[in-house]
Amino acid sequence: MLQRNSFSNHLLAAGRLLFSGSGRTTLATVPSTPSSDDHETVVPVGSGEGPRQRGEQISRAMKVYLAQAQAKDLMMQKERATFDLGKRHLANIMGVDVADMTQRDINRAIQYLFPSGLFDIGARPVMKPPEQLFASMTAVKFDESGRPIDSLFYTLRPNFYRLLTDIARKTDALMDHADQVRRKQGSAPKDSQIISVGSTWVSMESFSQILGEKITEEMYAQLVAALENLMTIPFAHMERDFIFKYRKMLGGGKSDGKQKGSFLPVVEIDATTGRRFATAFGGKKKTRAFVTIHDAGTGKYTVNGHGIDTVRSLQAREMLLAPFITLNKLGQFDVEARTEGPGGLSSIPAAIRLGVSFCLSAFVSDVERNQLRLAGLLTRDPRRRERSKVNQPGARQKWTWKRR
Amino acid sequence: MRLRSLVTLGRMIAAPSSARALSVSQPLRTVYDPKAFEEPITDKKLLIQPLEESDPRNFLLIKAMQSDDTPVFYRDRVVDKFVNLCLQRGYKEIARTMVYEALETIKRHQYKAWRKAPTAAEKSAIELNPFVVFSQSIKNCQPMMKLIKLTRGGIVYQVPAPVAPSQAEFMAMKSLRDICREKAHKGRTSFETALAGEILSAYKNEGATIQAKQEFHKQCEANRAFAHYRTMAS
Repeated sequence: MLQRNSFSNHLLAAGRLLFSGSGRTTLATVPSTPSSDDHETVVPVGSGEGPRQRGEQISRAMKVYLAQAQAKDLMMQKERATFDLGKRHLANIMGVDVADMTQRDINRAIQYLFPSGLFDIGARPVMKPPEQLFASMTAVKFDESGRPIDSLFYTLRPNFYRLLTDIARKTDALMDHADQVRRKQGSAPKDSQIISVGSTWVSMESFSQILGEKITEEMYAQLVAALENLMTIPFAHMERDFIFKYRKMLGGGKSDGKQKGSFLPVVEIDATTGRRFATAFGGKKKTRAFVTIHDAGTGKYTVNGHGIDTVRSLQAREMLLAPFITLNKLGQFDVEARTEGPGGLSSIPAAIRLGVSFCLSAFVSDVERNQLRLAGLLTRDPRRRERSKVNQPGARQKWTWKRR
Repeated sequence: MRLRSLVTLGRMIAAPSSARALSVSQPLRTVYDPKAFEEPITDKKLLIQPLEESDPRNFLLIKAMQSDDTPVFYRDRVVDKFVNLCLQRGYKEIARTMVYEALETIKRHQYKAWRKAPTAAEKSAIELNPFVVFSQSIKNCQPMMKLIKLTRGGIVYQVPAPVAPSQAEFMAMKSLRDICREKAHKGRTSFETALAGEILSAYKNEGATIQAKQEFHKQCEANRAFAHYRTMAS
């Protein structure tokens, strides 16, 4: 992080020098106004000397940038070498060939050699290639006179402002297009809207990553407002791809019933009986269920070797049969379930129900699978017991207030 | 050599980590993110109908089906609600068994009456479906008004006010349950027997629950002088 800070400071310094260098002013007169996050001093370019020409000033600013870039390069080379060496040592310790060692192996080795109980994931030891740890320095091109070719260089956040400009241009273009249509038709243009439900804007951090620049909350709000506006104007669907680059799906289902977290098992064929079968895993709280269902069955249902008739609780029976009841497929499949872990009359049937639903979803059509999804049978129940709080009788419940 | 390697390793491991801001947000009220989850459809008739294209359930995740919401053919909203009302200390299985046993008794009673009925016209007048009998009884027990307590100048006024259908249903169920519990107190009779009897009486607009409703209406009538306090009371 230090590298990124000093780099941006130098950019800042360069920017300031260049801005005030317009006209015939000298560098000596540049007011040094350090910003709040300044850790390093502004490079004293030509301070205390006589008046200089403009070309020379610019080239000095560029020199600062180039020196920084070079220093950064050197640092990265060094870090890369250290990383490679560390990786080799790690491979030696763990008894693996260096060539076969992936980042996953490294992570596992670090976790094994330096076990950490620290809660914050960011505080735990890591070993990653330097490219991932240190911010990369974007290469800036300069022309012959020493000026950066990209005019947005001076904004210090060129990618952010470029994106904002792009959005504005696209918005203008779409509005022009709508105007043209209105002029042709003589009425307000009718257009299909972009469906925004089911997806949200990517987070500020993701925007930072996409742009390769650190953005503030205000900048993020600016971006989101501009994109929201673009999304709501007529003919926005023409820019759908552009807009959805910056939206992330909430993981919801599609018409084929495949939703985030649901599992579609592969249907196999039993070599001896020739019947098709599928196997899946279901869970609820700490109960785990391993389920196999065979098609062309008679409705045989065994849980840990016991038939469904041994389950007294009617609600538990209903839950066990829920996927078949929902799709009107009672008596067409044979189910074999095995459970592990704790659980009672609600947890165990719920875990098995999820496994059975996953299995059944492999045998049925897209429409039926979507029905299973909409009935909530392909969702693992994420609810857990909430811990009780200190100074409270329960998780949410409070003691009755008493004056004394 | 070995020491050096570990030192090198250690240096690599001490990676900079971005400072995490202290969370000041409220704790999550539910693990189902309200932006990402929708309620499941547990009605089989609704389930087979295609959704509208812009329906959020096309794009969002669906909550897991509740354990007491399996779409079995005898699923009945009113009965389920009453089961939950009869629930004590989380023993759902017991509450459910009691209510369903009462429904079975009603079925037997109605069927016996149906067998005994001499003419076809009399036979067709007898309702054989206990679920229909039950919901009609609950409807018969629903009060038309409610009383809201309002304290003014140290005096508690009972202010009559109109009641919403859902609340009227709740009041009817609660009154029915309380009367049955009272009848079954100290093993005088069983809850399910008392419930079956009460439901059958209420179906004919008779019995203790109907009486309680009428008394409640009288109370409302007696307090009609305070009806103008309603704007302050609600």
